[in-house]
Amino acid sequence: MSNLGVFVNRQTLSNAEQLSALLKCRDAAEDMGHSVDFIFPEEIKRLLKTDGLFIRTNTDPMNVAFVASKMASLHNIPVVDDPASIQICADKVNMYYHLIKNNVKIPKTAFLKKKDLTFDHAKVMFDNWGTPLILKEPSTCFSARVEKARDPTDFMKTANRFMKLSDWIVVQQFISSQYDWRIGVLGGELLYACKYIIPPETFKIQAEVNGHLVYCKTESVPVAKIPPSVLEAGLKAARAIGNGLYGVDIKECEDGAYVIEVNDNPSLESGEDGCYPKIYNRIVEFLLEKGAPGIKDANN
Amino acid sequence: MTAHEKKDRFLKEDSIFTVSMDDSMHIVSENHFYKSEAYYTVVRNEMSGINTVPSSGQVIEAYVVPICLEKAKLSGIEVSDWEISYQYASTPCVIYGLNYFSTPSEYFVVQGEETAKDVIKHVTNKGKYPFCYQKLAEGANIVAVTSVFGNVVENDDPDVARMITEVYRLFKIPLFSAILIELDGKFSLSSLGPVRYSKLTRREKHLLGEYLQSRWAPFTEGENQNV
Repeated sequence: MSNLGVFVNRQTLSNAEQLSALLKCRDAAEDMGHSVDFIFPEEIKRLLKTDGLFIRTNTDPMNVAFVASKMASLHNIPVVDDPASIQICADKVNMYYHLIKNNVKIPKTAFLKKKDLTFDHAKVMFDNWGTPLILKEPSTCFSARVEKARDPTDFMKTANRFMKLSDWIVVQQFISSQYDWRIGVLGGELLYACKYIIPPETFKIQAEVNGHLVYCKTESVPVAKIPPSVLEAGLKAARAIGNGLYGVDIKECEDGAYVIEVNDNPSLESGEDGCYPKIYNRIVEFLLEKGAPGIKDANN
Repeated sequence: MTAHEKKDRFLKEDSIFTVSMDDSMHIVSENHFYKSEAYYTVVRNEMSGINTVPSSGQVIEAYVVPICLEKAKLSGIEVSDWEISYQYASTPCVIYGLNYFSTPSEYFVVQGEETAKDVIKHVTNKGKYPFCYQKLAEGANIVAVTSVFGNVVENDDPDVARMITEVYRLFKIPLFSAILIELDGKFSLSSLGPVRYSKLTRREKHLLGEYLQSRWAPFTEGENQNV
């Protein structure tokens, strides 16, 4: 019997869906003969007594979840999400660099530096890539700081705001769709697939519209109904990042499947597991029985 | 204009230099912080297969206080004990923010509980984020030193010099500020952070200038990545 640590915080537990998902995870681990400890930031050093760590809080290299991941890694404890995956996925510049290097099909993408931010440069980008353009502050999560720019003036305003948080930002060609595919990948293999149906009021999976948060609807999709190009793009994109747990967002167009981004720490609480009831069993197996194979931390 | 002043002219705010040394490209900057120009220069080099020092991972490890201390401890460097909390810190202590907006350059030495409450409210954005604190023993002092390629020129304690050399070997950051806690003549590492060129002493600027002049190559901008 092994002990699984699940790293959580108050926010994780304040959401009923997340709480139910954590209980599913605990039940799966216990059914497999393992014990489970929920670990909060204040007691982070307890993770050193676990045999595997599953992180279920927002991740960013600058926050406490990364400390947990890195501590586990430094002490050779299998961890999902591993530090390298957090470092890459939490920073869209780094993530797109990995996708580009591995020839993953993504929308036209540029990294814009402070010194290159001029009205004329913006105008050229609109001339080349059309209207609108998508601007992303690299640390965006849950679609925050992802905005459409409809003209160079709009572009400059948004870019200047984002550049208060990062010296580089991401500019992308806009690809329209009514839903995003989400391909869940663990250890380089398919874990689940679903569609995120985008609310008509927005172009993002989550957005604030007239002061209200609107969320996408989740529709779990069985393996047999995943288009081959979408599945292939999801697996290729995930493998470009590492061997951990990822949620790959994909838009399917006439000319193929475009990877929009790869997320570490993907949501598992919104019905993603509808057609995949063994998601947590596979994660527990990956961490405690297989020792998270193939996960590397180049900095150790 | 003196020779020293001429050398200092290299060190304009936000300048980035590359130094080729030991088969690696060393990126010298006053700010390697996450998502800075220097950080992205390192990321871009790594993705191009250029052996770059420090690595993007080392930068993050160095500037997130608990990770820095855990890694240094595992390498045998004496470090300060740390705890993470949202609301309470046992005083006296040193407090660091631990969130997206914090930097180890900003630390607070707190003597009493009332002051601690105000500081904690500030660094946690009213309890939203956790923070890291290190308990201070009675008689402990905070010592700040600057490292230029692992050399300390403004502190002549051999123990400090030895510790900073080890820290440099571990994190490979050409220019950093280290906060140490001294107690009864013994030092423990509290944090590492970036240091502005304008904060360097004349001797530190001179030493950095020596490294840059003997081995430096002007920083050249890469092209944007377009697909």
